[in-house]
Amino acid sequence: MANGENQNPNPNPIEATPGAAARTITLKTADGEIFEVEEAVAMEFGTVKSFFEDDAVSATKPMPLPNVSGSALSRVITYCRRSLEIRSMIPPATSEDATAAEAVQGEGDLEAEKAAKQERKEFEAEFLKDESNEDVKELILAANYLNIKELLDFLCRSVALRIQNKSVEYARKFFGIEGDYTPEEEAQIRQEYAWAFEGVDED
Amino acid sequence: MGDSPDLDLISDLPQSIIESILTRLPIVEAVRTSILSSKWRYRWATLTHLAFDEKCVTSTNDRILVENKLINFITRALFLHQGPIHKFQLCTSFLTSCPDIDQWILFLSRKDIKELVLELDENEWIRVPSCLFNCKKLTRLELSRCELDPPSTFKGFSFLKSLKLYQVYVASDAIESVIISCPLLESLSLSYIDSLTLNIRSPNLKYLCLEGEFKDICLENTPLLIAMSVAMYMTEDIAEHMEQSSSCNFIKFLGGAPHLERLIGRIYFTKYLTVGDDPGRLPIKYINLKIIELYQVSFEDMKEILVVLRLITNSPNLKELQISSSSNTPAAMEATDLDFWEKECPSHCIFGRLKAVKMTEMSGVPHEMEFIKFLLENSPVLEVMSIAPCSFVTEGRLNMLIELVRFRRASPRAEILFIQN
Repeated sequence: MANGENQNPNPNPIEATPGAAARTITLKTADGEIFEVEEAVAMEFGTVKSFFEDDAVSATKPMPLPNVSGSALSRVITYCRRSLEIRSMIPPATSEDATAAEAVQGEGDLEAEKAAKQERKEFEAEFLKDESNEDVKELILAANYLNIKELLDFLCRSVALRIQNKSVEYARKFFGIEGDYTPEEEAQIRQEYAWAFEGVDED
Repeated sequence: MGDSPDLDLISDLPQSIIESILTRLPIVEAVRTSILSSKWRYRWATLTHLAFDEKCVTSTNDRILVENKLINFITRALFLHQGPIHKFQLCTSFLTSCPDIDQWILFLSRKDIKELVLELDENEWIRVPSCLFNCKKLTRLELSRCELDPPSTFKGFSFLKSLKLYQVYVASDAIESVIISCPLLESLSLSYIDSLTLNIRSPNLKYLCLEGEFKDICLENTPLLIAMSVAMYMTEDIAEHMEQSSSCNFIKFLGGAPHLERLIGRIYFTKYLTVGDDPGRLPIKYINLKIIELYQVSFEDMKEILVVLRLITNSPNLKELQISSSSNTPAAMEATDLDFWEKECPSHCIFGRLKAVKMTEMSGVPHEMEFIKFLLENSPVLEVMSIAPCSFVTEGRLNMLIELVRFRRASPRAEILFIQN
């Protein structure tokens, strides 16, 4: 599914063929890679969406993404494509407020949602399986810059899961944070936060 | 995968992302990040979403000890907190009536609280303090298992969009006045609040969910209602009250919701709608009503059948219909007024958009079969009619099938699915 990458230095202009193949949008990453992405997928990126909604921007030049690397963008595109597919499994809700609509959803809607949730769970588990912490951070920064709420939520959830229930030293090592408390300071903190550190071994 | 010790992966992420990550940790873990480094000492303290439950503290068999630890935890966390708190959630059965809850809510009322969720123990009925009604910025309020008594000076929550009350002890007129004084209310959910008599006046209400024993409900002003899910339970009291009532429940309930798109009715809902005088010809058509689901419909009660017919014949754009029957009785088997279908049933009635019908818990009683026949004859674009017999019926299935096969179908595309499991 790697047809979003195109190493051609002469990017194709946007195809405006009415009714035929989907329009594509061209993006250029910080390291010079060119990506042609289906419009529907590219519009998931809040940054891209506003860029093209702002008056008549030239649609023929590739949009520069100076804060995103090629490898990150490739992963992001994969995620958004799959996410769009899964979302199309559910009939459109009549409103933005998900919690409200939940109470009054019909049986058919609920079944479709359950199936979609299951697919999303499996897909997300697979997606980050082999990613290193460096990669995850890069993805977070990319998702943040591109303003993709769903991907950012997912990544933050995953980071929270990775650091949950782990010891302090593990968390520090895992994220490369240097603990800079003096022993006295650390003792002070443990006292200040005794109510939160109950039952936890010092390590 | 070499993480060099200088590489501070997480600390230089923007604050909004850090908050996003910390919010997704259990609060006790978020607080513990204070030990990571000096930069992190109070990073958790500016979180705007806080969620507490008994998992914040170590569990023991001593309930009182757990309660005390939990109270201490929450109080300490709030005391150290900086900045606004937009979302506060407390779900635990360990808190018995305690003045600390009053103090926490007072604290929250000064912190621009927008979303408040309180789920407490069912044995203790904590009385929600009056300072709750000073939380002027509330957009969402969810209360479970507590007592609610709005002060007479309460002018309403001007920004409240979502209200959910579950097993809350509150007077009918109190709820009515809360509802009417929240002009932006879009979603209302009332569950298991006994014997409510309600006049709902809510000009922006879109979603309504009602469950429990309701004496009398009138949707007096709900012009924007889009979806409704109602489960009416019955007590002897209520049944008696219903028998004496002459006002038409159908109109009282559905008369004020012309833009309804989805209707779900459970337990005694259809029975509830039969109460009162016959409304005659309905003045409104539910032109947006696309999905109707009715459960526990009693096909041996002619009045309930009429209610169902009235609903579907006044919904010209109905797309999906699901009916779950509760008619496995001898009375149902011996239906005597079957000539209704030939003589009185609305004819020239076309369900021009009906695509899917699902009938469940069917016993094959005469009125059920006539209803199916009626639908098949009058649904020219029907794609699927799925029929699931109820599990008690074993002998009658073949007969049901034999009858089904004979029915004329207006839609050449219609599939009939007989679901056996």
